[in-house]
Amino acid sequence: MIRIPLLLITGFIAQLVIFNYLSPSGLGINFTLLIAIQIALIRGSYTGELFGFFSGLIEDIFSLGVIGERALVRALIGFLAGRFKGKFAVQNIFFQIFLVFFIFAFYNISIYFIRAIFYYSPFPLKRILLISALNSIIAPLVYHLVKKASAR
Amino acid sequence: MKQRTVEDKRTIYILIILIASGLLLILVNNIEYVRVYKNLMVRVMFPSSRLVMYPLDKIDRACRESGKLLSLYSENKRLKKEIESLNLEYKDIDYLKAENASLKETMRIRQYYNADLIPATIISHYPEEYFASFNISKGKKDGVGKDMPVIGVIGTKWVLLGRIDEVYDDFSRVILITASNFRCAAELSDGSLGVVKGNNEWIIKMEYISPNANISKGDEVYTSGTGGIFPSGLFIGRVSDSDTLKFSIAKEAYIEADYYPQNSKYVYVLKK
Repeated sequence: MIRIPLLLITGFIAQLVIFNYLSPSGLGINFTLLIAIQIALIRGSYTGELFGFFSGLIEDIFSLGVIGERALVRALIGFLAGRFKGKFAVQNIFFQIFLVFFIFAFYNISIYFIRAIFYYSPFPLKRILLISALNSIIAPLVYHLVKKASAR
Repeated sequence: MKQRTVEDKRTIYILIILIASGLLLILVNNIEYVRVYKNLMVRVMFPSSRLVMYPLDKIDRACRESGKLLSLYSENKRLKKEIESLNLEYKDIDYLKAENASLKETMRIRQYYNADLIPATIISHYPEEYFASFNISKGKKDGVGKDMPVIGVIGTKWVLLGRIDEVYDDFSRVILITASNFRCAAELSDGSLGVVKGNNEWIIKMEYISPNANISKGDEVYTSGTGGIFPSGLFIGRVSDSDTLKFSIAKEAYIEADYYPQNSKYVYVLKK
């Protein structure tokens, strides 16, 4: 059970130290969201939504932005992704890419709307496709990484 | 099946709680006391985030700086070479300036006295003979002879330093004006004559001055030209003090020498 919080912290540090750093022109890899999706696919909705919520909350706090936006959307994503557990061939690379692409698009659009509704500075919509594509490409790799790390 | 339904319900309840919490957090973002709390949280969390980012920032900066350093290194190398060559040129220029000044003075003195000047270098000046003598680099071979006056230059003044005492083939010994066995006929600025005697210190004595002489502090003393050894008009020093002797009608003055041979490198021998 301790592995999940450890994964959360490790993922967050990796995001902070490596992936935030490797984001040319803001086209970054959202490693914590990728982990949240994979955790949900492997462990199911319950773990997925909790992981998503807390990973989002930590990032909200550290980003100095709107507290709660990432937590809210990621909890929802964790829940939705968890519904696919055992139902589809989650190990399939193309399924991974396809799913992650749509989840990322959903995530970014949701953030955009939350910010628009609550009068915060909105997310640049133009980049959604590029960010989603970039993250979906590395999704299969993260899946195997998370699977090994979270193996009971 | 039943257990799965319970799990699903729990998951949905939790999701509702999480979404509600998320919404609540978003809504309360702008409330003042939450801002204070947020600021506090940021204050606590931000340093830790910076701490984590610190090594990476350092690496990033080091990478950027190393690129700059490489170009700076090559530029520095090139500039160092340029500075070295410029320094050499400056040294040459300084040397030429000094040589030029010395030659100009030589020309002036030569024209004034209608005599040849032999430029020489002070090659040794021993502490034991500090006020007595020094040795110069010119000797018999260069035309130096005994009792020839040795002079130096301060600005535009030609200063009497001493006379040649012993001459060797390649070098000579000069007796300084401050040596106790030095004598020279001198003249005060008011035209009063006297004899300058060395005293083994920087203050030299001028004796046998006429009792009518008007001596005051700061008066300049020059060689008078009488006696046949030293030409007239060579600067000796300035009067620092004067006295009238108790058992004599003559006056005497104390002269401070202006020229310090230890500060100089070149002197001239005035060839008769």
